[in-house]
Amino acid sequence: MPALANLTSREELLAEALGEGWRPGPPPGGEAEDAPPDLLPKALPLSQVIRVDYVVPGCPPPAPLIGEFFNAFLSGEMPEPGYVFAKVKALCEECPRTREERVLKKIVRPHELLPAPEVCLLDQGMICLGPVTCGGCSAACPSAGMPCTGCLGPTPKAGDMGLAMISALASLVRAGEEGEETIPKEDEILDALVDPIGTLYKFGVPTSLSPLRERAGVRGSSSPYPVPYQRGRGGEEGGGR
Amino acid sequence: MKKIVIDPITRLEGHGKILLYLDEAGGLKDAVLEIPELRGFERFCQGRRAEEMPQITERICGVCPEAHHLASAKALDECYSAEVPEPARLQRELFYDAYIFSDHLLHLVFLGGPDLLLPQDTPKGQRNVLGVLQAHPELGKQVVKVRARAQRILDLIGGKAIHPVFALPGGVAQPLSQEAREEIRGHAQAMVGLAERMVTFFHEQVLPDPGIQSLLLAEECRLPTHYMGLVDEEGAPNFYHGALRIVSAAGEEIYCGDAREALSLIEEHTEPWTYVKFPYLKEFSWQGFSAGVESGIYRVGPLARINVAERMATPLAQEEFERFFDHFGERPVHATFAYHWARLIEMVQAAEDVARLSEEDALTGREVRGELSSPGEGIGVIEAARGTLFHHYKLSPEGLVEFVNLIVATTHNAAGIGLSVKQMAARVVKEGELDERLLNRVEMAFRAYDPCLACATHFLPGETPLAVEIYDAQGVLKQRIVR
Ligand code: SF4
Ligand code: SF4
Repeated sequence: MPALANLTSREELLAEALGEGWRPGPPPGGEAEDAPPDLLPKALPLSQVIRVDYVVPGCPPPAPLIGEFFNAFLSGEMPEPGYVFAKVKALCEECPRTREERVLKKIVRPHELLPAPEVCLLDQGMICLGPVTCGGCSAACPSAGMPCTGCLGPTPKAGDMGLAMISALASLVRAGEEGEETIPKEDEILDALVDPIGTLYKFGVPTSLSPLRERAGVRGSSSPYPVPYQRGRGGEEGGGR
Repeated sequence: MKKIVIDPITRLEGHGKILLYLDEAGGLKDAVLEIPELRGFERFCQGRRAEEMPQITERICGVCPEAHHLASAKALDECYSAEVPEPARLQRELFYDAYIFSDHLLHLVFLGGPDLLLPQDTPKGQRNVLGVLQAHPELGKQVVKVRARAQRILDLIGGKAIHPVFALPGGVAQPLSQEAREEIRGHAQAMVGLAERMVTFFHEQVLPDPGIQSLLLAEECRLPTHYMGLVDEEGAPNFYHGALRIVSAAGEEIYCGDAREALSLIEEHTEPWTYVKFPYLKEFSWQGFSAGVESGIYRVGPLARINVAERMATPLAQEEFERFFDHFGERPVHATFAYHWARLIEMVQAAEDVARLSEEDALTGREVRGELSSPGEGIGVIEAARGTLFHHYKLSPEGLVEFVNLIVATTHNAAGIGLSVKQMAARVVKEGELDERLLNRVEMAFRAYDPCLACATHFLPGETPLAVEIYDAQGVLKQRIVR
């Protein structure tokens, strides 16, 4: 999530936090090397800096997933490197709320509506990322009355979380009978999705949004480490779907 | 000139570095605590949806997300001019007391514990949480169990114990169920029981230790500064809300009033050698890194809150509060290591308060959302475990964030921590040498503050990734101590 910082320049970050013209330097009497380092140009996903063998996703990773990792580790039966310790199936599958895929007539923000207790939040108009996020947290946020913001990362099927969610929303939104004249109205409904980047990529800026050449980042363009989500993935069914 | 570099400091979330500069004779000339990182929340929160702020800012820190979560919600309450209904306020407050309890317990036993609960001459391999559990197995077991129960309360109300999701502008996500309340009641009793046991343990086994006595009373471990903290109408510390009180190093009241307005009393000083800013009280102006009545440097956190308080809010905590001031015979207490004791007193109050709040009828009320007006500007102030935390936002008419300023607890304390480190280093660095045991003393000085940089890693026996390097005047490595 701190990679949201990539949406602005490092100069802007510094100016906002420490004032225009601030530059790192050594303490009085110290040498140049005592100065704090410059900020890096970008926040990078870990997998582009070191080789990542296994991924236990989540912010923070839910305890049962950490448990699965240690069970595998201690029993000596670790899966192939690249394995992601989360479910392949989407969060909706483990959510206690009932989803009927009703049409989306209006987008509401969490503070604008006290949701009905057992009905799917997306059906009630909240942008819940459950359909595109992988399971593993027992749908902690929807159970607590709040939409999922995607901290476990996208399902293998979703790939790019934001794009997948936009296409899901596009197919759910309905302003009336299908046809040309309802399109502007549907656009209007979708316009209520303010800050789409922050909403759909809160945890995905460095993996999904940086152009490829930037992704190679400070370590040079020869980084040998692929983004882990592109590798095989386990969970209940193993291997993707 | 010689210098000693301590990098990285153990048990810091993120990264910290201590630089000790020596004079010709090898004594200490100067010391700085450098924070070499910045993530830029103030900038990248701009443009985000306001109601997301409790969930974005809590990710500043993995140790105290609950504090940011609710400081943010309180700032948003004001941005939307919302009255928080009673049931929502009770949920927030109970949640918050459970967090203070859990966080203080974590520090007393797991982070600061090795400094406090083990004899001073404990070999380094045992000076960690496992050593504590070995030395006190029964208490250790109870601590682990009860902390899990406090975390469970955070989970029940917050949705997630770490990075909770429940707070929204004007209230909370949903009403609390009756079953959840029943469960919380049980946990609360266990928390009060443990708090009492910790107090007895402290007086029987910790306080009498001559090493601890010398840390508490030694002149070099005293740092006279001003103090800041929230108090309720009766002058007892309140973690969730209240008036902000500032007391001078001489014990005189400097300010007592609306916490939000107090933000205008503070100015921030920047230095090129650290990404952390140093707040100080404007009326004293910046006088460099020095303590005392004349300086604008103040401290926050447990010791500060106890120092600005008239009394405690609950009976057991009150007893301990009285014992505390009897012991020192002064007010305010300037002993840096008294932070630990103050933490214990607060932990008792938090446990008793969780028990009290869990009985409130309105806790399970259905009305959890206050009415929201059009978005504007707001300041939220809360007492994080480590001290006063300010969130200040301005919102656009669509409810997007336009401006953010955050002053976090460890920032308020940054100057004080630096000064305490310097004091301790002056005491232990002799003739340019620093042995491993003394090195721990320097660490202890900042650990007393439980810097928010602290994180729960580095606990397994043996290695903590702390290296001190001593260079001679030519910059040649002379001595390297690794723990
Ligand atoms: S609330 Fe969210 S996670 Fe649950 S079913 Fe609806 S979309 Fe899926
Ligand atoms: S519901 Fe979504 S945001 Fe919440 S913990 Fe699960 S994956 Fe993370």
